[in-house]
Amino acid sequence: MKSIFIIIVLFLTFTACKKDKPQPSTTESTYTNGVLCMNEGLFQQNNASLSYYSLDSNKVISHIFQKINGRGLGDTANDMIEYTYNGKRYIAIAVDISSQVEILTYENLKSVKQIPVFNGNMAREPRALQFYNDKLYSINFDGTVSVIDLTTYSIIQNISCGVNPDNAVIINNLMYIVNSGGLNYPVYDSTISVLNLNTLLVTDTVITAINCSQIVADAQNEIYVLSRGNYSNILPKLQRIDPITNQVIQEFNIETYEMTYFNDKIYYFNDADSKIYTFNTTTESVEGPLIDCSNYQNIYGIQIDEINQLIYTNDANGYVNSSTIRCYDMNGSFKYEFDTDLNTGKLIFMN
Amino acid sequence: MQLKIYILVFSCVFFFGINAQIIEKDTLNTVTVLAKKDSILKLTVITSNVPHYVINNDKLNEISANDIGDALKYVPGTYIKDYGGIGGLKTVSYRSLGASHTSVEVDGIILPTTQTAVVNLSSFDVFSTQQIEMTSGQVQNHFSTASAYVKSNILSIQSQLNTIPNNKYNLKLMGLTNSINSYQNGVFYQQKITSKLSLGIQGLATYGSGKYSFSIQNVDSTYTAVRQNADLTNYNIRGGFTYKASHLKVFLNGSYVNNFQQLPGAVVLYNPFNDQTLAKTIRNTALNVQYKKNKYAIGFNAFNQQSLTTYRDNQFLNQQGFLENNYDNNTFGTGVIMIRFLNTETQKIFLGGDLLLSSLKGSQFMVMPTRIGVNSVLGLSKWWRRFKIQGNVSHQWIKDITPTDTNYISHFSPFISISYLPIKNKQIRFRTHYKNTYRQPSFNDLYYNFIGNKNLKAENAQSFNFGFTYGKTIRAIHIESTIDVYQNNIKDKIVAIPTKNLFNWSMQNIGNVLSRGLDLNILFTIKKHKHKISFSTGHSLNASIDVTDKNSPTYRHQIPYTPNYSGNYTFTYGFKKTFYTLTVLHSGSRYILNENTPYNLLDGFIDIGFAISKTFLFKHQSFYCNLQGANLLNKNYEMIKSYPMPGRHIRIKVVYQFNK
Repeated sequence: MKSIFIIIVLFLTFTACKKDKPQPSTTESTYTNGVLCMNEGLFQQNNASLSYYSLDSNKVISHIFQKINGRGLGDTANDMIEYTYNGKRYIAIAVDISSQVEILTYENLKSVKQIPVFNGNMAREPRALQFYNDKLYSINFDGTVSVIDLTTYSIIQNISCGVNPDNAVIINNLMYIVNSGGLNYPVYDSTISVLNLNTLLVTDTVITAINCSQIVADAQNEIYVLSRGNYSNILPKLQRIDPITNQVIQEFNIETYEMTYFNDKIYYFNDADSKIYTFNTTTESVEGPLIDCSNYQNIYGIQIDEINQLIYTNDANGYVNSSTIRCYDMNGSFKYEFDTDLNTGKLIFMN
Repeated sequence: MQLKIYILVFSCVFFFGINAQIIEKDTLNTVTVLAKKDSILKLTVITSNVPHYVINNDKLNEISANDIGDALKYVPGTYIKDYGGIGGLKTVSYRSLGASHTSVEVDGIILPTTQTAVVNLSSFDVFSTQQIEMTSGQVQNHFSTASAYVKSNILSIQSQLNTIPNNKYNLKLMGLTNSINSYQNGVFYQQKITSKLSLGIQGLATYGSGKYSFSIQNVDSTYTAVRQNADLTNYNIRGGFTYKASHLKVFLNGSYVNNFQQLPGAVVLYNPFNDQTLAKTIRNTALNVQYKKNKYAIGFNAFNQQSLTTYRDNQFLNQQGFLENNYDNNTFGTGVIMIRFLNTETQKIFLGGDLLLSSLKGSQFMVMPTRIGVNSVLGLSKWWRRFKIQGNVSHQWIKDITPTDTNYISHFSPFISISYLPIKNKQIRFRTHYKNTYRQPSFNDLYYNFIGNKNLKAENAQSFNFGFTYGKTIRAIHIESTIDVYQNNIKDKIVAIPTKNLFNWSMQNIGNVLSRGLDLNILFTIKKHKHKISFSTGHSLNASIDVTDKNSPTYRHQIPYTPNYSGNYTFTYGFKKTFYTLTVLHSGSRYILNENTPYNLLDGFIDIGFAISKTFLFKHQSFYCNLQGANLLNKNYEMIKSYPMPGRHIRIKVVYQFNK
């Protein structure tokens, strides 16, 4: 009897499971024909990442940032933009909870600089990035905009805006910063701060509906801002703002949390019927539906590859699993899909 | 109406049914193999019909446990969700049933968990603990009341205060220092007022900065830092009267806990700053009465618990500059258990009922819920030839009252267990049990602003166990072992999921888990002259998969924080009053999320500790000292992702006792 137990113990001891760790798979030397996907990851899990989908091989290279740079991107990536400085292309990523702005080269995704965005011991939490006139602007959740010098990669000035800004758009020399006030619930913010980028002074404040998040500008420089409501009795709506008077001139009861603008159209996901519609910004009317998304679990973004004229959507699959990216042509016909990682947010179409 | 009928039926069975019992001679009642003085060695209970583990005070010292959560790591089948550091949250998951499926009983009182459904095990210290027991299926203490029967598993804690001193005066002083900047001072005093009545009082202070250095692997580099913002100050005072006569035992006690701690939070890459605090005040009053005469016994208890909690985040980015949440939870409970023994004390029929009233006021609760709970149980333990049968039916009934709604939940839970002794006078036993339990949704699940869902059902868990126990003594050698295989089917798990988009999360009954596993425990001891050697080892295999939705990407994936394999070893060599103990805790890798991808894998770990303890005995006095080196391999590991456990550290504990 004793020997049976000893055998069992030995068996258990030597069969202690060892699972496969991620293998450092091959990366590519240049990234010229594919989609770079920023995966937000999950709060306090340190698993923000980048995936690259190659249009040549139709394969995804996951965790490409850490494979190239030997370290993690950090905790909760929120925005990713591309810009050109001194004739060279770069990618900037706002990493919210780690409170860093990460600068990569466009050609090989190597980290050039990791810029900490702190106010003493307080994380400012970069939420969105904008580039204007050789400067990078980080819109921070602590109610500030940090101006980053791209020669020294240092923050040269912090400008106060409203509460919990979430996004911004630039028209001429003016940056329209959307203040959500999300953490100030139940008293959400309902303003847009207008920052003059030449003087770095907030020159005006636009009164909007509560809890605005996304903002776009159309070809006529009119601004469209999306109010998310309060997620219960106040519904989302789209507001149209005149950039001369900085006044809301029209409101549309469109129940959406995700939108993007391209070529006189706002592409938005309609929560009520799970379909993507377009909103014509010249006729100010809804068109469509364009894409049926009823097979999605949780839509988490719509983006447009302007050069190849393709619509990409992100499906977050419950926010705790790998995301699915689906690609459609401009008529809404499905082309292909691929899986990335946790909570894919921004995409960059690399060429 | 249903409830009334049910009470009537139960009463009839209890008072009239017993006369119909065929009285069997209890010849198979097994003898305790290990004498009490050797009980340091004991862990698994081989005479039990169900998985049942006992860790007494000596064993707690042997494994140098800091708290009850630490001690449970040596029980096969458990996974302690340990957030590390001093005062860090510890909850127990047993055989893939989360902490909400385990009741915690302290000196006969089931701790109320109406607010969160779980109990933080790090709040139970070793200093004032006499013994802990972990049982799956059915609680094995006679005087446990109905609330102890309604969950799948039960952890019973017996405190030293609830014991009768052998001497007139009993004084104990304890000092503990830990190189992770954690300290503890305790005083315990017991005095006999008369031969039957004694008074006891204890105080324990736990404090320190909780600072320790750690490393976390950041892909190809290692991030090393010191755990910050981990200050803890905890005062725990408890006093009581114990009365013990030949048939009657009464324990009346009260306690006050004042806890203030900083929360070190998750380790976030590139952002070391964090500023959150948790303040807690708990007041407890409890009365426990046990009466036993001839074939009858009756147990009664009543308690009140008031708990005030304040959570504050000083880095919250709202206009105020901070976030503060307050909770005031007040619970009153009372219960009766009536027992009729059948020939011997291992055979009985019992009937019990508990009443619970709990209310919560909280800054995150727009509705202030009040819960009336009634738990009841009817059960039987009976020998029949070489079979021992234990069975019970328990019932939970809940009425929640809020300003807008009244919700009811009502469930019956059956339990049946049979064990079989194939050979007369041999310590060999086969055992099997089945239990179906319902984990009630907590106030948080039901009423927390926005996320709470008042239409939740109870989580349903069915457990099957089949085991084999064995014990044998050959001269100075003694072996004890239990091996159990089990299957748990969990349905309607209560989880928070996004209903439509990222901004609308809600608690839902979504998620089915199929859990299969094996738990093994072996104890081997040799005693010769003044030498004592013991070797104890526990091993668990666990395959728990998500069987919610065939079309889900995580279908049949191993559920998070459930290692396929975990094990532990304890070697002790003792000579006279000196003991040397080597402990090894080992866990395989675990996934941190539902999806079984390599990037969601949290590495396994081995934690090795070595301790030397010595007791110096004098007339009326004793002096005990214990020196432990913990995590000797100095490998930082995480039980919960982003919460690193301390690396190598030293702990010194001294206890002075005076008895006269």
